[in-house]
Amino acid sequence: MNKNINLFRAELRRGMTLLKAYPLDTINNLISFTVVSVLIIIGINKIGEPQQIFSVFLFPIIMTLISGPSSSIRSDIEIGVFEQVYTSKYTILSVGVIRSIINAIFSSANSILIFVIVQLFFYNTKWKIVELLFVFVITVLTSISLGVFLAGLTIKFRKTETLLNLINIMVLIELIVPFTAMSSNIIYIVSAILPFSGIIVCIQNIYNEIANLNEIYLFLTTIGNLFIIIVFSNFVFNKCMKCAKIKGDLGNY
Amino acid sequence: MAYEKLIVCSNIFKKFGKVEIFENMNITIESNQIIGLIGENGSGKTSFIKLISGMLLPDQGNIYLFDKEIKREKDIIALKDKISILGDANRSLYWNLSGMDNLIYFWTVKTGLNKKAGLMLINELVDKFNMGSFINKKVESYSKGMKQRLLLVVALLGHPKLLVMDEPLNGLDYENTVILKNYINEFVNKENGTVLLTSHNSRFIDEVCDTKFVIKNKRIEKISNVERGERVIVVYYKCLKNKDSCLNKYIREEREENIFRVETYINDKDFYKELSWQIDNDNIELLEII
Repeated sequence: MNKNINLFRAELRRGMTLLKAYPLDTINNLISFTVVSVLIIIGINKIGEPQQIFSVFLFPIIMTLISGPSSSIRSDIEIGVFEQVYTSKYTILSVGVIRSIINAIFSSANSILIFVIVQLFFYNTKWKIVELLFVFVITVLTSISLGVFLAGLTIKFRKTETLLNLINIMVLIELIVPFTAMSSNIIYIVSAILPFSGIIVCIQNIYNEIANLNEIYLFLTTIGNLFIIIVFSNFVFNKCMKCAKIKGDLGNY
Repeated sequence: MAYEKLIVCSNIFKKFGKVEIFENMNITIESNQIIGLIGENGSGKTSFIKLISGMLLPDQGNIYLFDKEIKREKDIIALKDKISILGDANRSLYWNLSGMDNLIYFWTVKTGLNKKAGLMLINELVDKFNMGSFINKKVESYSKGMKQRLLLVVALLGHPKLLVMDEPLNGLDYENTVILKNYINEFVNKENGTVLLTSHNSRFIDEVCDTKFVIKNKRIEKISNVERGERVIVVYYKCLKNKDSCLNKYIREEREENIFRVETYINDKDFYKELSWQIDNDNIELLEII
């Protein structure tokens, strides 16, 4: 545990130094992301249902956690430090996951800003902290697991940016689909198939103050979905790692 | 703890597609010495380093490091603090961080300990390698020699038992080569470490190494226990015909366009035969013999 805390601190220090080293990029990232999110929110507000808006603020965190491990591996390969990190006390996966958690902490500034804008200019909602905390934890674990899956593919196939873009678009679409307006059967089916839909239904239910988390089926499919994603992602990662080691692709461009 | 046999590779087979790199390769490397590994480009030097660092798995055969077989990821992680690999200094460092930030970061990554626990050792090494004047500048502003020194310090952070250096002389000037050479000797003699280095520069290998291995015919063969400083002959020649085939089985460097420097042991009879044949057939023009 101490070992991971030390790595977390070291990565946080490194991340902060890099943020300070590129101030224009840091500010531009915050502004452009918020502007795009607000435009999406305005669009949903015009044609959709208000409950669709509330999951948008999770988007920056989800996106960062999904892309984190794979972009960490990719950037280490490009800079040339992959071998140094690989022959260290940590697995490359733990380094990648801790880096993506740190980046998610940085990008939570985007989430907070979007959340405040929604509260001030669109809807002022009372938030149920316990339910939201549950949803947040499931969201983080699902996103990291998808990140591990992508990291495995990056180790094997090296470039996975297009797949990442596709996943980001899918997540964004999931975030704004008005699930609660659909019939229960469709919700159950969708939540069993798509990784984030159960979470989003939970958020939309919390907003509508209907059902909360009492719908056992929804709760179980969301947890079950997470469990499957964790097992599947780890399997893919280990398989890809072994395959790259056999073929000699590990650390190659 | 002393490990008599630091690296043992037995019956290693490795293929990349149709290209066979190792065929029934066996090697035993003993601890507390400087080992040189030579071989032509593409002969498998870097693949060998990747095999012993766990970055590459053999198709067949077993690899033992520090008396433990490396097979699964957890076996490799357990041995990581004993091995340090020095790659190309132009890469292998975070160039957008300062030298000190690199050292602090890699200290934690290599040892699992916090910054505080490593500061004393870091400062000690910075002083030892005379890096005080530039350590707080960004790595992107460093010369090749500065980067190589920094990378050497990074490699030493976790008190490794085995230091693997892949072409450490690439781009190093005379002064930095001397610093490196001295440090390698000190690491082995005072810290009981073992150094495995690959280099195209056979003079450097001869001067520094206790044992030499060559990758030949998909196997690694021990050449001899060389006496440090054993006499060598250095020949400069101009290639008049196909430069890829003249004296290409010797370790050679292209100094200028078609001008080569080749060196070997002074009693290497095969070399003289080959040299005479090349001259007689007007393949090369002899420029200088030292």
